[in-house]
Parts: sequence; C-alpha cells; structure tokens
Amino acid sequence: MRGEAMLEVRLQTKSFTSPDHGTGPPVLRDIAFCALPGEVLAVLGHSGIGKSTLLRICIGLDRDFVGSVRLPPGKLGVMFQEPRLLPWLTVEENLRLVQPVLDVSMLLEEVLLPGVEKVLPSALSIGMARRVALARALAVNPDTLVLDEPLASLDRSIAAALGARIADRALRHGVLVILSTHDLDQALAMASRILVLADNPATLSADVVVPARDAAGETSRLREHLLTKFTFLSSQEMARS
Amino acid sequence: MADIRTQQAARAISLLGLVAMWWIGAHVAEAPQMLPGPLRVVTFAWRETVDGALPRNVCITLARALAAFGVAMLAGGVCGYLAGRFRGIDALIDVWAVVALNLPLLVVVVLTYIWIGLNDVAAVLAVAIAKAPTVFVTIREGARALDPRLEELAAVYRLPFRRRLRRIELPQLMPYISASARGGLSITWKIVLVVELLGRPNGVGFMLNLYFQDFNVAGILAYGLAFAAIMLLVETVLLQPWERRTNAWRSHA
Repeated sequence: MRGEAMLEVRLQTKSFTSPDHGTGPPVLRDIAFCALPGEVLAVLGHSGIGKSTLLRICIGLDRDFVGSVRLPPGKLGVMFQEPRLLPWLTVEENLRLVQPVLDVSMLLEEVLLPGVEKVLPSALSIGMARRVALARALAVNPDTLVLDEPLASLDRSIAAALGARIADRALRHGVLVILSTHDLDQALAMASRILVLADNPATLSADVVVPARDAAGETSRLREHLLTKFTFLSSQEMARS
Repeated sequence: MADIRTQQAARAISLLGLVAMWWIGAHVAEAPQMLPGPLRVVTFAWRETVDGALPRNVCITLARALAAFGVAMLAGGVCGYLAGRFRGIDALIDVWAVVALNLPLLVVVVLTYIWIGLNDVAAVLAVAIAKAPTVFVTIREGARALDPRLEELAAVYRLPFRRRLRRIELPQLMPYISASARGGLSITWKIVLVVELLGRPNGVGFMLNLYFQDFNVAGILAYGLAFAAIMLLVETVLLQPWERRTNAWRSHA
C-alpha cells in the first residue's frame, strides 16, 4: 500500500503577502517533484533560500501559493526548525502529547538522549531540545517524516549517527523522509535523492539520485559535480576548511 | 521557598502595621462612636459570632459571591476564548462587551431585580453580569496572544480538541485566567454587598445597611473586616498557591 502513496509537488510560484505591503516578489518558482515511501529526499540550499517554506507547503501549513501539493495519506511526523517543545511539560509529557501510548525510554535511546524523561525543556541545551523534537516526530510512527534542518546544532558524531538512523528507518519501514539542510555532506550521507534549490527566486536547479552507500567513488564524483555547479556549496566548503 | 516565607512575613508585618495605625488613630480621635478601636470591634464581632449572626450572614454573602464569580469566570472566559480565537465571534460579542462594561452597576442591579424579582438568582446574575465583561476582555487578550507556532504543532499532529485545550492553550491562558480570578474575586464580593444592600433580607450587605441606619460604626467595621479577612484567607490559601503551582515551570525557564 505504501508504494501507492506518493508525494506530488507542483509549485508554480510562492510569494509572501502582508496586509501593509501586498503581495511581494516570488520566493519560490517552478518546483515540481514526486517522492515514494522509503525515499529520503534532501532539500539542499543556502540559508534563507526558502527550504523551510517549501517544507511548510509540503505539509499543508502554507496554502498561499500557486500550484498543487498532494501529501501521501497516513501519519505525519514533523520536526520544525526550532524545537517547539512546550516549556510547561517535561520531555516525557512533550512526547506523550502527540502519542499517549509510548515507550518513552526506547524513543529517547533512539535519538541518543537517554535519561531525560522528567526534565523540563528549559534545562536542555538547544541540541538536546532538537533531539527531543526529533523523538516527538518519530513518536507517532510516521508514514511521512518532514525534518527541517534535523542535524543542525549537533556534534558531528551525534549528527552522523542520527542521520544514519533516520535513513535506516526510512529504508526498513518504508517511511518517506523529506529533510532540509545546507550541508552537502549531511545530504549525501542521509539522502537517496537531493533536490538543490538555487537562484532568485529559488527554483529546483538539480534533482539527483545519490548512489548507494557502497558505491563510494560515485558519491565522491557526485559531490565534486555539485560543488562545481553550485557556488554556494563551494563557498561553504571553503569556509569550513 | 525562602522567597515565599519572606513574602508571607512581609504581608503579616504590613497587616500588623495597619492594625497599629488604626489603634493609634482611634486613640487620638477619642470618639469611639465615630472610630472605635480594634478591641471594641473585635469584641462586637465576637458577640455576633457567638450569637450566630455573623457566620450566617458571611456564609450567605460568600455563597453568593462564589456563585457569581463562577458564573462570571465561566461565561466571560468561554466568550473571551471564542472571541480571541475567531474574528467573526469577536465582531458579534465585542459591542455587547463594550455596552456591558460601560453600563452603571446600579442600572444592572435594579433592572435585574425588576425583571427577575427580589431573589438570589437575580442577585447572583446581577453580579455576574457586572463582572463577566472584564473577564471577557482579559481572556480575549490571552486567546489572541496564543503562540501560532504551537497551534501549527497541534495542527500537524492532529491533536484532539480536548488535549489541545488542556495541554497547549490553557497553560498559555493561565496568567490571564489567574489575573481575572484574583482581580475578579475582590471586585465580585464588593458588588455583592451593593446587591444585598439593595434587595436582599440577609447577607453582609444587608447587615451593613442595618448598622448604618443605627450609626453603629463598630458593627459596620466588624462585618466589613470579617468578610475582608475571609477573602484574604481565600486568596492566601487557595488562589496564590494555585497560581504558584500553575506557573512553577516559569521559575525553571
């Protein structure tokens, strides 16, 4: 059944409208793609290009656009760019908010954050709070998982381990994962497909399949190709080195 | 914990200071008919307590005040929540609220007595009508200030209405609810006294009117202060601990 459930995005334009300034210039244009359960789609682009806006459109939180979006039926797990934990609830209560019947300890183990069940969010670092938000997205046992910069603010080792777990969950349980990132290496490590947003207004400038993990040479070639083609990626690479 | 003890000590010292000023004032004035001292008032209150008149009338007034307070909080709170969440409902109720806020209390009380009759239902309703608009305005502001990001969270996880209300919206509304409750209770019982004075055969308001006609200042002070003391007790024993408990998470933030 999951094979029939497909995400379809046909976005012509997206502009922001405000009561004072009317409709602004388009921020997204001509973005069309489909995705099947079990795929991990990484939306790659520099900060502020509209990745979060595209994800919000995909999950139906932003309907002010020209085009159409069809989200697969089934349960949806979402991790927003900011954790959005309820500060008056403990970590456990935050997780049970979306799924009352739950093995909280096991879920926290899965996001590498054991033993914080009774802690209030104010006592967590931003990285820990983001992992709780990821756990909350996983708590509903989602058919579609939408993650906005899921590995930001995390140590490299933890980010790598969590990235592998998310990709593994998609493969094993047939979960469709859409995530946004500005980090090419994270995208290559986690995704089965990469959608690159570039230009102004942002358009879908590349839609590439990431080779399987054992084909290391092909992945390196893809990495070089993307670095050459998109200057924002090479700038990031230079800044990092 | 130390903070709470310090606050309670400060309140007790402040109260003792007030009694001391009263005692000095009565001593200086040397007019026990106009300003009786604390001891004279306490003696009068004790006599009325032994007689049973004071506890009976205080209980009657307290019951009316609590009933009116409950109705005002419920009606004002629900309407305020709906108006804050839905613009259409706000447009419908807002004019009513403005009219109710500006209607003189005496007009409300007199009309309610004329239309419903000189009974407890009319008394409670009059007080509730007088208080509900301020609750409405406060809770509406709270509902307008609900965090839209948490609303999105509830929407994407399709949270049932009751869980959304209990876990997401009520904790955000709690400061507004407690502000309404604390301000509301003190205003409510004062309005109840006026309502009793105008049309009830019992209660603290009725007794105050009775002693006013006798120019019995000790009686007026005994009933007035006895009821104020009970309201202070309600505030200290019920409202403040409740407010502290619901806002406990803020001290960790």
